[in-house]
Amino acid sequence: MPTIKLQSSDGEVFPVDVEIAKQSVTIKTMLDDLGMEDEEEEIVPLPNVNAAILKKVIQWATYHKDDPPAPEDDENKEKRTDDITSWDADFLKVDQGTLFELILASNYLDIKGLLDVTCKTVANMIKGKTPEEIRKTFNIKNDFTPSEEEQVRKENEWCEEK
Amino acid sequence: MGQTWGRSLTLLSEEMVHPDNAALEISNFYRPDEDEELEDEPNFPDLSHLPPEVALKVLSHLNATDLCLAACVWQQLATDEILWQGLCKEQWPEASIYHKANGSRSAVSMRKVFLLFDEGTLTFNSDPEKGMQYFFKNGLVRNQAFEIAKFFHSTSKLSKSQMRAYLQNRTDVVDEMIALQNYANEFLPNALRKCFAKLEAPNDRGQYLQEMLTAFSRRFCQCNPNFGHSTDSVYVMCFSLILLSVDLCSPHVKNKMSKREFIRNTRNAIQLSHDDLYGEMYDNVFLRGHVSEDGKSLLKLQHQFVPGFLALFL
Repeated sequence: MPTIKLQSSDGEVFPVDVEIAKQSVTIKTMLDDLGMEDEEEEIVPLPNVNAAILKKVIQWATYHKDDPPAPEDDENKEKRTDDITSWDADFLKVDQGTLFELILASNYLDIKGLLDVTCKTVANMIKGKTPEEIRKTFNIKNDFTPSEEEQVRKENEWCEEK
Repeated sequence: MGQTWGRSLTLLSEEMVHPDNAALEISNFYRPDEDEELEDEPNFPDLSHLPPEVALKVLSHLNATDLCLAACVWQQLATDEILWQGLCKEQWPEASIYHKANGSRSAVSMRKVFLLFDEGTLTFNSDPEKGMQYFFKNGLVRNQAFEIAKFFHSTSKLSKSQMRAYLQNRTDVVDEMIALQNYANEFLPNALRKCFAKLEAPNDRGQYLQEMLTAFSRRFCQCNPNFGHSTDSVYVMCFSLILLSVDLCSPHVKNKMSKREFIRNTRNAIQLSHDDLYGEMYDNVFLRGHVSEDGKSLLKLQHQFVPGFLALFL
């Protein structure tokens, strides 16, 4: 199987099966546009992804290489976040900084499956929490003045009734 | 070739650095090697530091309640029109308000629209007549049979039995709702199930059931021009299937109708012998159960229904 070399922002080079790398639409488009020959020894630089994250992304893509293509988003379909597979859930048991970088990397590399599951994971961290708890989880300073805070609460008090 | 490849790669990497400034800023933002960051536990940077389209993607997984709570933290992001439009269309996929010219709608935010829909739905599920008045008054649904039919057909948030209560007096809407269904290449009992899944069957064999089945038979024949039976025959077959369903599914009926009896009864009622078709219909109900999915409402038909129905066979 042909391989391709991906270079992380900090210079580490990862040889990867082309088929696995092509889960990234960014890489796939590039390869399709340029045409790929077996003896090519070009290195693909990925200046936005560091080695640790690239390694994780490749690990994810390798595990999911035989997945059917992700269905198109249907705006009328009920969104679910409880359908994360146990492998993905384990895979995403990482610190929040890493999770954040995985989102950015999958967005930049255009890997829909990984972007979906990482976004769902973050959404699950928000679900069912009060604003105070959300701020605590994400370490956000409350920069509303008390009167602004009151205003925002008023606008959103509908949800308290539920 | 090699050269193009190399040049394009350079282009690509330039492209990677430049256009997505937002992404770049973030990779700069998260630098654990900065001194003070090192002291702290690495924290998840704020959602507002993500590129907006990604932050919205995260928030699009929240329901309305969670989104309102999140709006107390990320006010701009969580009140985005796209998110609220998504929530509206997820629960009420078809409504007149979505098709209004942008000019007249822009005054109302999608979040407000969501709250109106929510309120209207709650009202409808306790008093359908009031609920519909609420939908009309707030311009969510136009008071026209086709518009109401589309609204009812697409949403799963309205109570089916309240919907039936409302439709009792709006058979024009029933016609439109049945016209929205497609029964092409469906076997009659399955098509009937599909119909009852959207339009709850009534408790009695009143005018409502008759009108519903008339509309159904017409639509069924329209979708299946090669079925080879008249609308009237289909209508009788529907009644026949309902009776069979009640008979087979009701615990009160001791002596179940046999396949032979069913074929004979149906043949007598229609005055045409298509025994193979009637036999297949019997097998379908025998194996798949009641033609009305929950089966409960039609079970009540039993008492008034059996004598009346027997008259059909005479």
